[in-house]
Amino acid sequence: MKKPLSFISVIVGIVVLLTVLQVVVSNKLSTTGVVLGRYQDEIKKYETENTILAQKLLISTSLASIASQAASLGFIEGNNKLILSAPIPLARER
Amino acid sequence: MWRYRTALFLLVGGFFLIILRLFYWQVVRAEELSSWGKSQYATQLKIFPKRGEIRTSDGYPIATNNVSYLVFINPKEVGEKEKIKTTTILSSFLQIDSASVSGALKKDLYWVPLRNNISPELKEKIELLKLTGVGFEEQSIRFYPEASLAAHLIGFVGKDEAGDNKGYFGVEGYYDRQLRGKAGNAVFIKDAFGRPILAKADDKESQIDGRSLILSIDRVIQFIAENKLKKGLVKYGAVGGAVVIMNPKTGNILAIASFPSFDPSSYQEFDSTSYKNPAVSNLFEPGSTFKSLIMSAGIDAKVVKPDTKCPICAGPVAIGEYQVRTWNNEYHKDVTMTDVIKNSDNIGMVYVSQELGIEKMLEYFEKFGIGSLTGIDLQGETVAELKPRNQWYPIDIATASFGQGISITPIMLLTAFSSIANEGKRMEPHVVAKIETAKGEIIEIKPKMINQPISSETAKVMKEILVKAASQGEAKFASVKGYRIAGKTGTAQIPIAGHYDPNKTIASFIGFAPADDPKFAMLVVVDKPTSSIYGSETAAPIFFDIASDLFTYYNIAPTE
Repeated sequence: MKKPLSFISVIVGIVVLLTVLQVVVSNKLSTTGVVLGRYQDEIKKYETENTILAQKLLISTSLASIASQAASLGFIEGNNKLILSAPIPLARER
Repeated sequence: MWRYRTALFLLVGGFFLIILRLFYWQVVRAEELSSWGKSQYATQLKIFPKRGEIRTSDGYPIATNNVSYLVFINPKEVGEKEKIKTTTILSSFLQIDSASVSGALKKDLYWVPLRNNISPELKEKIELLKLTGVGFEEQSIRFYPEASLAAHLIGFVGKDEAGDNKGYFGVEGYYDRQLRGKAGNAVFIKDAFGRPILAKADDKESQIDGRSLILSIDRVIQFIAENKLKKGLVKYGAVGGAVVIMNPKTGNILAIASFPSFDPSSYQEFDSTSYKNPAVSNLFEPGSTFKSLIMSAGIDAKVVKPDTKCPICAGPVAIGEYQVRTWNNEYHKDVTMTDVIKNSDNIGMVYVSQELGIEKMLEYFEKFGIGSLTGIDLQGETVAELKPRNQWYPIDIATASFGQGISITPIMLLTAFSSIANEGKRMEPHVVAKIETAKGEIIEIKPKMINQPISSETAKVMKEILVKAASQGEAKFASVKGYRIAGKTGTAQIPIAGHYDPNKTIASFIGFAPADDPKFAMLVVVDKPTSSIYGSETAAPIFFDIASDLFTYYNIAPTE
C-alpha cells in the first residue's frame, strides 16, 4: 500500500509543479509580449523616421535640386570648350 | 460485480462519447470553429509588400516608397459637443468639405476613413490638436526624388480592378510582377467591444517584398539629355521630341528623354496621351536617317562600293507615274556613294535600291529588324509590320530607300543603326541591367546579340562614310570640333490624308561617337519644328550639344 501512495504523491507533485510553472511562464510571457509590442512599435517609429529622412536626403541630392541650387548661387553652364590638341614635338618646332 | 461492470461500462461509454464529441469539434469542425472564435476577438488584415525600387546605374532610386498617412475617425468616440469643432478643424486641415466630415461622424461605425496620403508634417499638426477619435494609419506611396525625370521610362503606379497597386507604362508596367512582391496576412486582436487593441499576431512569412530594378540608365546622361532636348524644343518651336542614347556594344539604354511628358506622382492630372513613350510607341517615317541602313545593305550585298558612281543622279528620276527629286532640287552627275550619303541624295539612294532589288531589300529589312519588335523591356512598344512581298511596287522600293513610306519607332531605328557602330552586330536594347531580390541577391541581365545584319568590313566602310557625312554634310556647322563623329541627318515629311504636308516635318539626327571606339549611339527626333523644317538645323545641333557634354562626362579626349 505504501508504493501507490508515493507514486500518487509524485504525480500530484509533478502536476502542482507544472501548474506553478505554467502560471510563471504565462505571466512572464504576457509581460514580455507587452515589452515586445513596445519594441516593435519603437522599431516601426524609427523605420518611419528613417524613411522620412531618406526622402529628404534624396530630394537634396537629386540632380534637379543641385542644378537649381547651383543656378541660384550664380553658376552658369560654360558653352565654350577649350580643346588642347596634342603638343607638337620639339624637333618639329625648330 | 454486475454493478461494478455497469458503472465501468457507463463510465467508458461516457468517456467514449465525450472523446467522439471532442474529435468532432477538434478535428472535423476545427477550422470552422477556429475561424468563428477568431472572428470574435480578431480581424485578419492583408499586409501589402513594399514595392521594389527603381534605381539608376549609380544606385540612386528614381522611384522609391514614401511614408504617408490615412486619416480615419471613430464616430463612437466623438462626443456630441465635440462634433462641430472636430468637423471644422478636420475639413480645414484636410481640405475636404465639412459635409463629408459631419457625414462620417454620423455613421454607426468604429472606423471611417477621411483622407488618403497626407504628409507626415500634416499628421503631426493634426496630432498636436489632440482630437478625440481621430487616428492615422501608415501607408506607402510611390515617391520620385528626381520629380518627372525619365517619367516615360519609369511609367507610374495606379490601381487595378481590386484596388491594389499596379504599374502602368515604362518599367513599372513591364516589370510589375517583379516590383509588386507578394501580399501576406496579419491578425489584429480586438477587445470585447470590437475595438482594435495594440496586440498583433504577425504572419509575415507569406509576405515577400518586391524586387528592385537597377537600370542601365545613367542619371547624369538622362539629366543632360532632358535639359538639352527641352531647350532645343523651345528654341526650334517644336511640338515635341525624343532623345534615345544607347551603348551600341551592349544594347544598354543610357537615356530616354521625350516631351511632352508628365509627372508620375500626379499622373491623373495629365492627359492620358502623354503617358505613351514616343521613343518606343510612336511610329514615324524616318526620312534620310534611314539611308544609312540602305547604303549599308547595298555595300554588304556588294552591289555598290563607296566609290561607285551613280549613273542616274544627273536629274530627277521617273518611276512609273511619279518623279523622284532631291530634297534641295540639286543634282550631281556621277556622284559617288560616299557623297550620296554626305549630300543626302535621294536619287543616289533610288539607284542603290534598284541595284539591291526587292528581294535583297526586304531581306536586309528583316536583318535590321524593321517591321518587328526590338524586345526592349518597356511596356507599350509598337511596330508597323511590313507589307507583304506582293504589295511592294517599284515606287515603294524607291521611297523606302530614302526613308519615306515606311514607319518605324525611334528605338527600332537606333537599334538597327547601332549595328554599324558595333562591327555589324545588332544588340537587343535593354533598360534594366540587374534585378535585386528582397533578400539582396542580384540577378544580372546580360547583353544579348540578336543577329549580325552586316559584316564588320561593311560596318567599317559605312562608319567612314558617316564620319564624312557628319563633318562635311549639311550639319557640319554644328559638329563638335576635335572629335570623329559618325552621323546622318533626316527630314521626313508627315503623311496626311494620302499626301505629305509640305510645311510640317519630323527632323532627326542619328549618330555615334567616338567613331573609332563608340561609347554611345544617339538618335534625336524633333517633331514639327517651326524655326526650320530641316534636321540639320534643328535635331543636329541638339545631338552635337548633348554629344559635347558626353565627351566631357566620359573624359574622352579629342583626337583631331
